[in-house]
This record gives sequence, structure tokens and C-alpha cells, in this order.
Amino acid sequence: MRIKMSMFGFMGFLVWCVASIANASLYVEITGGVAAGLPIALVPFGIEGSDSGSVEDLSKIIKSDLENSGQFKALNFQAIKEFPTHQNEVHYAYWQGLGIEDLVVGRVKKTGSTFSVNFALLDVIRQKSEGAARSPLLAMHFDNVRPQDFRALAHHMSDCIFEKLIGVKGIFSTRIAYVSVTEGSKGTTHTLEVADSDGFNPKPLYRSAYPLMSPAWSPDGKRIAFVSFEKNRAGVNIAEVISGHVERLTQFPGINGAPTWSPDNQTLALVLSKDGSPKIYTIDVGSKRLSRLTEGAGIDTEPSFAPDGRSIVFTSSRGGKPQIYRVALDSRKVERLSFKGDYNAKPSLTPDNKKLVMLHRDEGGLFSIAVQTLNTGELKILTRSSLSDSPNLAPNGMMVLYGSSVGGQGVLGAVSLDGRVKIRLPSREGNVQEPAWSPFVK
Amino acid sequence: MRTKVKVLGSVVLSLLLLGLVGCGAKKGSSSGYDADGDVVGVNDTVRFYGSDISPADEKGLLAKRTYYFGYDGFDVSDEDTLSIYAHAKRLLNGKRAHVRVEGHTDERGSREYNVALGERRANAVANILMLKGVPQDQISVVSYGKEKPAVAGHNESSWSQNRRVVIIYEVE
Repeated sequence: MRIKMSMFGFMGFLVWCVASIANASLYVEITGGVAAGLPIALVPFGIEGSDSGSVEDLSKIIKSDLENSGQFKALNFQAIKEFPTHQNEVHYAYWQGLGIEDLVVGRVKKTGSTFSVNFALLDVIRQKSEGAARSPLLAMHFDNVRPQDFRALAHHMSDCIFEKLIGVKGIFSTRIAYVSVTEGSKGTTHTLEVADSDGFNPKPLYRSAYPLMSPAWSPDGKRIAFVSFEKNRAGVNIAEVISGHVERLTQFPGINGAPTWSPDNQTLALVLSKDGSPKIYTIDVGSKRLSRLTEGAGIDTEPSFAPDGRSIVFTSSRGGKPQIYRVALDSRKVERLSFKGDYNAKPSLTPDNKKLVMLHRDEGGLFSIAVQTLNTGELKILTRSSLSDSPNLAPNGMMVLYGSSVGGQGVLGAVSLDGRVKIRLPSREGNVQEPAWSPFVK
Repeated sequence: MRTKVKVLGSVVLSLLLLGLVGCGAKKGSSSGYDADGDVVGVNDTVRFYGSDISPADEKGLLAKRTYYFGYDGFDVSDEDTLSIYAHAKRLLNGKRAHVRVEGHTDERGSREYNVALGERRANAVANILMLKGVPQDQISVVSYGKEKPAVAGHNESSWSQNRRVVIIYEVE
């Protein structure tokens, strides 16, 4: 067993080394719903000491981030006729005339081999009523920025702007994990990849000729649990995100599936069928001590911890059809949560513990991503497509990533929890499926 | 428990079928369901398989290794049960032989729930093998859910070919 584990680790390391080969990189496509939202303008940043083609266009990345969130309506760059790069250069009346409420201006200056970046977020509307120049809502300065850091810096600025104007932490610096499936001369390759939340910078973490399933980030963002099937035996593995080292945690007869982390990073909930029907177990990651959580006949699967870590929501066929239930970790008391429709699965709770996101089959037989408000039982369908699956919540609870199919190709979709914006992250090559959103990055 | 009864039920049915197609098997007179719906008399009837099947028929039954299921279905058809019996006999005759029983579903629905459904299908087949006396250590069961479709299409004709259990000899 120990030898096997280190072999997996070595394979993971090899995969990490050949990072550049055949990435199924993603690109973002907005498919609907940016009409509403806060009107904002991003002025192309001024560039000193370098030509404009030599660095990533920060304002373009920020614009795309804010639009993808569904909370902003950004002015088209072509509509902009004035180009201030500092707050002192802004003619507020011009922007007020365009109906803009907030404005972002900035400058990039090359100093040696690195850059310094300044930016400011300005309140256009309040400026009108008060006359005298107001201090900016945000003014930030960054030194020693390397060219390869520009995307990360832009996402960081997007996070700051989002939090300032919306009052909720932004998710633009987070990352996503997903499984890409590509066909080659040697058959099918399954790759667990990690990319920026907008699909850029994809990196393979683990590769297998067998299916890979159910990636789940640890809440500290350091590890990803996932399922693999080497030698046609299911097992739950843990990958270290930085080193790429992979270790097999469980390999019992039958199902080893659906791993999910407790909020304290110490425990995994998972599904095993070694004792009969698939049931929910918890395993202490350090000691590997196993404890069975659910009982009875029927299928129990897809556990997900409540934000407080004191209960787990899961899918169960105990009532005949798959529905969502919650089990308390101390009393092991089980209650049913979903009642609408005859197929509800893959549940997760929003960070405020008030809403349940799940896969729902509607009357027409379509599999949709739906959200249920717990205290009212009201169910809202966010997407309608015949083949959606794997809904996964962003750490701020405002977006849901999911797997979908367009023209027979597996793509990732994202929808805001209010249903207002839908975006798509298709792969340039092969299928992508089973997205998992990372926690906030510290 | 319900799965088991269903499996036993189809065993009885397949034996009735055997009798009807005139393979010469005598139908166990006591087989059927009792008042509680439990299957009775199975052990009397399963013994008939093997003695009256021609080598050619048996070859045909052994050649079959993929069994298809209805939507949300776990019942093994009578025809398939006969083929699984033939594999059981082969496993009993070759004690070193080992099979992997793979369960699969179509692409609709949740991935891990489909893994559970695929395992139920695979267990329905594995249970028939064990019912015929094949020791558990000659069988391993794995479910791939919807992760390894046999056919790539997105319509009922493809889905019906993907809802399947496959017997694979890991050791012949």
C-alpha cells in the first residue's frame, strides 16, 4: 500500500513537470444577462516607459471580471472619448453625461524590469451633488510588479472594487479545479486541472487513463480530494496543489466516492459501499479513522458540509427517488430538505446557511441547476438544459459553476445565484466537466 | 432486500423460460412466490441449468458479456440471466478465473448518484453469479456511473446502449 501511494505521488509529480502539454484551456463567453447592473467605466490605463503591447491590459481584465460577476454593466471601450489616467484629470460632467456611477482610472510605469501600478476608483454620482473634488473610494499603489503578475494583480483590483461597491468579497482571485477529458491516439486521457477563476493559466495536477471524478478543495486551498479508478478500482485521493503530490486515502471494495472537506480541514466526508448500500462516512485525514454516518437501505451520496460544520447535506434514495436530506453530526438525526420534483441531487448550502443549491429535474425531464430557499421551500430554477450537472458554489455564495453540454461538448457554465447572468467557459480542446471553486485565497 | 427478491424473481422466470423453449429442463414444481411474495423453490430449479445446454448454446451464452437495462432499471432480463449462469459455471470450473463486473449508466443526472445506480446494476449481475455459488473473491464490482459511455450520442438510442453491465475476465 505504501509503495502504491508513493508511485501515485511520483506520477503526480511527472504530470506537474510536463505542465505545458495539451492543456484544455478555457475561455469565457457571456451567454446572457449583463443588461442590468451597476454602470461603471474602466478607462484604459496609461502606460509610461514601455509600449502598450508589452503588458497585459489591466482595465480589460478588470472589465471582464466585473461583467462576469453579473453585478456590473461596464461601458464599452469604444464609447470612451476621454482618457484620464489619474483622478486629477477627470472631468466628472463627461462621465455623468454617460450615466456612469463609478469610474476606474490608472497608470502603469516601467521601472527597470518591473512595473509600478496606480489605480483609483472614483464615485461619479456623488461628485455631482457636492461640487468639490472628493477623495477616491479606493486609491492603491503597487511596486515591483512583474509582467507575469499582471493578471493576478488585475483580479486583485477587481476584488477590491467589487467589495467596495457591492459589499461582498470578490471571487476573481480564486481558482477553479475541473476534469478535462481528451481523446488521443492512446485513448482517452482524464486530467485534473487547476485554472484561474476566469479559466486562464490552466495547469494539470493529475492525469489518468481512467476516469477522474469529484474534485473538492480543502477550505485552506492547499489540497484537492478527488476520485480515481486506477486498475479499475475506485479510490479517494488527496493532491497537494503546490507540489502536485498525490496520495491515495481510501481504496475499499465498491464505491469510494464523493469526497468533501469539513470547514476545519481535518475531516473528509465520503461515500463507501463496502458494507452494502452506498452510505456517508467521515474519515479523519490524519489518522484515517473511519466513522459511518448514515444507515439503512437505499443510496446515500454527495455529502456536503454545512458552513458551521455541524451537519451534512446529501442525496438519498431512501424515499424512493433521489432527494436532499440533512444529517446532524452529533445526534445523527436525519431530516428531508427537498420536496419539489422527483429528482434532486448534489446539494450544497450557501455560506449564510439559508439556501440550498442543487441539481433538479423539472417536469419536462430537463436537468437544471436550482436554488431552494430553506425557510420558505421556494425553488428557483437558474438554468434549463437537458444535461446540466455538478453545481458548485463560489466561496462568496453569489455564483454557481456547473457542468453542461453544448453541441455534444462538455463545457463549464456559471450562473449568478439571482439568475441574472450566465457565462460559459468552453474548452478549446476536449470536454471539461465537474468544476470545483477554490476557497478565498489569502 | 428488494433487489435480491427481484434477482431471484428473474431467476425463476428464466427457468420458466428454459422450460418453455424446450431445452428439456424440468420446471421445479414448487417454484414461484408464496403468499408473502417471497421466492420459494429456487434451489430446486437452478440445478437444472448445465445438464441440458448444448456446448454450442453454452458458447453463445458465454460470448455475451454485456447486459442492458431500462431507464432507472436494475432488473436482469431472463435471457441475460441464462448467459450469467453460463459465466457462473465457467467461474466454478476454473477457480483461478476472476471477473470484473462493471456497472454503467446513461449521461443524465448527477455523477456520483449515477455511480451508485451503476453499482446497483453491477450488483444485480454479481448477485446472480454468487447465487450460483461463485465465491466472492472471484468477482470484483466497479461502477463507472456515466463516466465511460459505450456510445457517444445524446439520445435514447445511445442512452439505452450505455445503461449496461459488462463482465470482463481479468483472469481467464
